[in-house]
Amino acid sequence: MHIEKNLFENIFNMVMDVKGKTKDNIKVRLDVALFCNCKNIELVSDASRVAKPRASFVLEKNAQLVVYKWLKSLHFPDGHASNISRMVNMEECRLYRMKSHDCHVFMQTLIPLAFRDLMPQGIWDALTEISHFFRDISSNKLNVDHILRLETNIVETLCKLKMIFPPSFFDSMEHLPIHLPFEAKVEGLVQYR
Amino acid sequence: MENNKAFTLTNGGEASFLNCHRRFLPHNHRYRKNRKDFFVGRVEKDVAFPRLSGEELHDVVSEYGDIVFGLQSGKQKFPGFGLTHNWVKRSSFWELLY
Repeated sequence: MHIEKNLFENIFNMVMDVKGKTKDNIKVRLDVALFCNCKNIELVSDASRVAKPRASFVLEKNAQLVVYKWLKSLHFPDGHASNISRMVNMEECRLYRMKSHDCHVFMQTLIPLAFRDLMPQGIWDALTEISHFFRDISSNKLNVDHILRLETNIVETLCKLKMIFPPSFFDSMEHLPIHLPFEAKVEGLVQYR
Repeated sequence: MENNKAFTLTNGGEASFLNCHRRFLPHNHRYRKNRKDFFVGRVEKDVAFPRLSGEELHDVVSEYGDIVFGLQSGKQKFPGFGLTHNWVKRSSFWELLY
């Protein structure tokens, strides 16, 4: 449950560039120069100042406002999730009071819809894959063949995320989805655990 | 824990698991040979460490003995904690009869 929540919060804060919550800061950009080969997000230094170029996974300010406005107008069926439109703070451009179930609903259904056409296709594909992974692993019917397929696919999805996000994104929570299909195989459906 | 490839970032100072996923790929996967997009110029040749079975795990855990509960229980540590292993306590579920 909290793997999904933490992963969602990390992804959302990175993509929407939430102040104070995003892991895409200057120290990380220094690490990118050491550990990754991403020339486009390294710090650019002039004679007098250092600039932090906008990374490809961060939405532009206008696109962020589009997402927040869409969330503001969102209505869910009764009992599906709490009222997400009340959680949007347009002034500070962030979400407040998200419970873990809201993160669960957002991760599984809203991520592919919210970011569609706003970010490059490759990044949207990777985010959609991780969203579908969580939807499949917590569905109310699972068979072993499907779990085995999930087990091989999630590794590739995480590798795709690796190519998109900087190294600080990968704390221990981003590694744990690899072990979730095994857990589902041993312990059964998520609602009976 | 002793077999993973997590490391601490030099500038950020936080633990990063960025090099841990690639060893789970099949051994002829194209991402394994990719020197460009992953960890600086490295090819992944390791395979994923096999999961411990229940008995193996029990052997590992029972090496470290019990923790005496009380006021001091938070300060007790098994010898070698943080160096060779990260076990904090032995779960009481191991003492169940079945």
